[in-house]
Parts: sequence; C-alpha cells; structure tokens
Amino acid sequence: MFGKECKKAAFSIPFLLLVLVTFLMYWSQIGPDYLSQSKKLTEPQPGENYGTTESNDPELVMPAALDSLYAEFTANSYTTYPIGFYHTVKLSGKDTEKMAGLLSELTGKTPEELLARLDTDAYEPNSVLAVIGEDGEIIPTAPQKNAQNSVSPVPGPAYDRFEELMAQVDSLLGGGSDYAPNSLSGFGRRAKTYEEALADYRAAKGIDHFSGAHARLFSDYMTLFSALLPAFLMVSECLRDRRAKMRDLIWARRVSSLRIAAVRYFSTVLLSMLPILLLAAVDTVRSVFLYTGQTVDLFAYFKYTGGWILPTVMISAATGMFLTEATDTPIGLAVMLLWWFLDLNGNIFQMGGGYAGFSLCPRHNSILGAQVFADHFWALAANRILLAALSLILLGASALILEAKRKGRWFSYDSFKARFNSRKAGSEA
Amino acid sequence: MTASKRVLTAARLDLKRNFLPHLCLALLLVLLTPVLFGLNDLDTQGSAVPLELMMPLTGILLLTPIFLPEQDPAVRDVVAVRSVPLWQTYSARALYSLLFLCLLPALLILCMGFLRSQVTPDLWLDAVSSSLLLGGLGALSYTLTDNIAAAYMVPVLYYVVNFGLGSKLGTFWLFSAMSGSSASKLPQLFLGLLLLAVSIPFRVHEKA
Repeated sequence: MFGKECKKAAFSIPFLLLVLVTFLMYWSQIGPDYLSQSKKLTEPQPGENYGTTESNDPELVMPAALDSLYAEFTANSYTTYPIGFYHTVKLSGKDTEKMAGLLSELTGKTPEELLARLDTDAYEPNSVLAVIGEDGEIIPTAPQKNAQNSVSPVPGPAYDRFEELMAQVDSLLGGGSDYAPNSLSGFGRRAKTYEEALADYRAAKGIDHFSGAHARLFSDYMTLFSALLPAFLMVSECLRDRRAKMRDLIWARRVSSLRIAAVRYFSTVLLSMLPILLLAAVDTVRSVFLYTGQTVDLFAYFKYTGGWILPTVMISAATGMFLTEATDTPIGLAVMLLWWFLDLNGNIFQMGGGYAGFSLCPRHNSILGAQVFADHFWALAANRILLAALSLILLGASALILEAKRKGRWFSYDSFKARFNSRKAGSEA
Repeated sequence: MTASKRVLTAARLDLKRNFLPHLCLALLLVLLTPVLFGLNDLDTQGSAVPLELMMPLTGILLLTPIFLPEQDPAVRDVVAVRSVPLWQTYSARALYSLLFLCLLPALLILCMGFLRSQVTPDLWLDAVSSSLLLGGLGALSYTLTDNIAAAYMVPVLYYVVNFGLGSKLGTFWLFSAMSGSSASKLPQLFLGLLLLAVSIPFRVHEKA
C-alpha cells in the first residue's frame, strides 16, 4: 500500500513541481559556488581582513545607540520590528515625556532641553528606511542623521544601568526595537580580530569537521522551501480521492483510518525529502573533494537533513493533511503560507543562529558560527523534537477525523455548503 | 429572461454560493495587514511594504478558484448545457473577482491615508498589477493541470521566489517599490490579464 501511494504521488503534477522548485531554489539561492575554492574554510593568517562582528563593547555601543535614539526622539518616529515586520511608532505626549526622562539620564541634558528639540530635522531628507537583502529579507537601514543634532552619553554610568534604561526604552516603544538588550550588540559592530577569526576556524574544524559548516548553510536555505512544498503535495493527495470519486470505495475497505492516513502522510514526507537527500549526497561528495587531505564528517549532510530539515517537512505535511481532512478544502495551504511568512520575517534577527522559540525554519545563514551552534544546540534540538512531535499528533488527529468521516459523523465544508444553499434556496422560494 | 439578465442572475448566485469563502479569506488577509504591519506615518516607500507583501496574495485567493465550482466533470457538463454559455459564466466570475481585486487594495490605501501615510494612485495600481499577475498565473495553472493544489502552488512559489531572486526578475519583481525602484508594474498588469484571458477559452474548450 505504501509503495502504491508513493508511486501515485511520484507521478503527480505537484510532486514534479516540488522537485523542479527544489532544484531551482538550490541553484539560485545556495548555488554550486558555496562548495567552491573561494568559499573554502581556511586558516586565517595575521594581517588579513576577517570581516566584522557584533560586540557589547560599551565604548562602541553606548554612543551609537544613543545617537540613533536621539535622532528618532527628535523626529518622534521610532522604527521597531515587534514580529519581524516594520513598524513606525509615534509616541503620545505623555510617553514622549517619559522618553525624555530616560534620555535625560543617559545624556545629562534636562528633559526640557530635550523636549525643545522635538520636531527638528533629525534625518536627512529621503533617507532609506529599509532595503531588500540578497536573500529577500527586509533589512532595516539607519536613516542618515542631521549632523547638527548630536548627543553623547553621560560619562560614568555602568553598562548594566545603560542596558536597564534601554530596556525601558524598548518597552515604551512596544518591543522589537534595536534598543532591546539582546539587540544592542548591533550598535557595536567592529572589525573581527585575528584571534576571533582563528577561534571561528578552529570551531569549524573541531566541531563541524568542515562539511558540517557547509551542511548547516545548506539546511538553512533548504528548510525555507521545505516549509511550504510538502503541504502542496499533501493537500493534493488528500483531495485526490474525492476528485476521482474513489472516496467511498476506499472508505469501505477494511484497512484502518490510521493506516490510510499514515501511509499517505509518510509517502508524502518521503517524496518531499528525496530531492533534498539527493542534493545532500552530491554535496557530501563535493565537500570531500574540496577538503582533500583534511578530515570531513561524511554524515554531516545527512545528520543536518534528518535533524534540521525533516521536522519542518513533517510539520508542513501534517498541517496540510489535518486541515484538508478537517475541512475538505485546500485551506491548509493558506495557513502554511501565513505561518511561513510570519516565521521568515520573525527570524530576521536570528540569521546567525540562536534558534529561539517555536521556529518553523530555524536560521543559521553563515558558514561560520560553529560555536553558536554548539552553544544553542539544545534549544535547536528542543525546537525540532517539538515540531516532529506536533506533526505526529496532527497525523493522529487526521486519522480520527477520517474515521469520523467514514462513519458519517464529521461535519464537512461540503455538507455545510449544501445546507446553507438549500436553506437560502428555500427562503428565496 | 434576456441573455444579459440570465448572466447577471448566474453571477449573483455564483457570488453568493461559491465566491463568498474566497472573498472572506481575502478580506481576512486585508484585515490582518494592519495587525502585522504598522500603517501609520509611513513615507511612500514604507507604504509600499504592506501593499507589496500582502496584496498580491489576494489575487491568488480571488482568481485561482474561478473554475473550481466545475472541477467535477459531471457538474461541468450540466453547467455547459445551460442557457448561459460557459465562457460567459467564467467571464462574469473573472470580472467580479477583478472588481474586488481592485477594491481591496483601495480599501487598505484609504486606511493608510487616514493614518497619515503617504499613499499615491501608483501604489494602488502596483498592488492591482501584482495581484492580477499572481491571480492570472493561478487561473492558467488550474486550467492546465486541473489540480487545485498545483494551481495554488505556481503563484505561491512565484511569490516565494521573489524573495530570493529579487531584482533579477526585472519588471516582474513583486517587491520593487518597497526597495526604492520606481519602475512601472504595467507589464505585470498586462501579463496577468493575458494569462486570465487565455485561461478562459482554454477551460471552456478543454475535453470538448
């Protein structure tokens, strides 16, 4: 039964589109380049440019954060991203006074002096507030500040107190601002040192064995599309029997509802994973050739595919199945799209790892960061296990709904529509 | 009953019985927009963000299912022998879907205007153009595949691809205005109309 189901789904249009899009997205987003000589992880040498990094250095963070906050204060226009989407906050009179009070403690100016600077030109005209990045994410950009508006932090306050005040600022703005304590390091961007670059390389060698670093980046990109594609395949399979008028024939069989649901579900998951596994195998071979003479983890790609990508595929298919069985409509597609959309934007502040929360597609959009991965491994593992468990619960729920339908006990969209239309027709008559 | 009256009656009944759930979903999307995005005090480029990210999805919701009531061949055969030709039924559906496709962004833009955001007629036209492109893609996909999941898949994946490929899509990039580009989206409008127009005769003459 499982073989037959796989065969039927494998020759369906949604599966062909799934394979096509998977390869297209791999080619356009990751590209064969990511396992080329130019992207190879090599031991840094002294005196090179190692890129930049964020830091919590008070001497960098405090003036930059304060500068930004003061510019937004004078314009009474604050940029926040409470759920990953761009918001402009304008404070009321009362809240503006509170903000002036916080700024007063930070800058040493009196609240009256600060309030007198309201509505002055804080930004240069036509400042760009956001651009689209290479990966399609929305990247906020700092507006160009008017050089005449300038403040400095009051010398002396401990960084802890500074963080407390900034947390109050963030709270006043409704959250999601750059002034939240875990976002302040964005103001402390500086050049990476040789020691830091060497530590990154050693982590990539010791923890990732090189191939793991590339596999993690592979998983980061592939998970994005794996969150949507299986839902389409699953919905198509669930609606196929109704379309072909085979429902009654299948439901009359002795096979249990759980078995029908499980076979359909696992065949969809397997087929969705096939193109990803193929790409993982190819890239394993490529990584061996790229790091010839060095020890690579031959199973890294498969470990990441199973541990990182598979739970996302499972939950996508399970959500599609559950909502399709419950409603007999393709509404599962809309739900998955919305979830994916919210997750994509909600994760823009965790592109370098972190894996916090109930994330559909955990992000780690960098070849480096092995130590970040190791430090937050259990957060990621908990997230993945939770999604996998939830998907199995939804599978069980789908089987129960199917069982109820077979016994004629389920209130479906079709019966609702039929009743609604007959009632209206009756009243019109 | 005259022919035009028959078409109008068919369209009215169709609107009530088949179109309403899709319209409700599209309305829900519009209502969700101010929840997800701040709509107040945005400049023109900032105003483009919610319009370009959310409005194209209404095109998928409103235009992709215009052939869905006749997905069952038996139903299609019955409808085909009615006094209202099938192409007129489909055209009426496309027309009232287009009407709502134009109304929904207008509604959102009006709200944004009240919230002191800088909105222009060009933003409305851009939103309609992108919606029409995705909707036309969906309608034609359904005609070609006769599979509702595949029909939704094509425009949704085009939408997703726009996040990644970005400016490489040229005039067919859905998110150009919010990235600062002032390029016209009329090519999207024309292509969307063309796809929709082609899908109707295709569907009518399918399996004829």
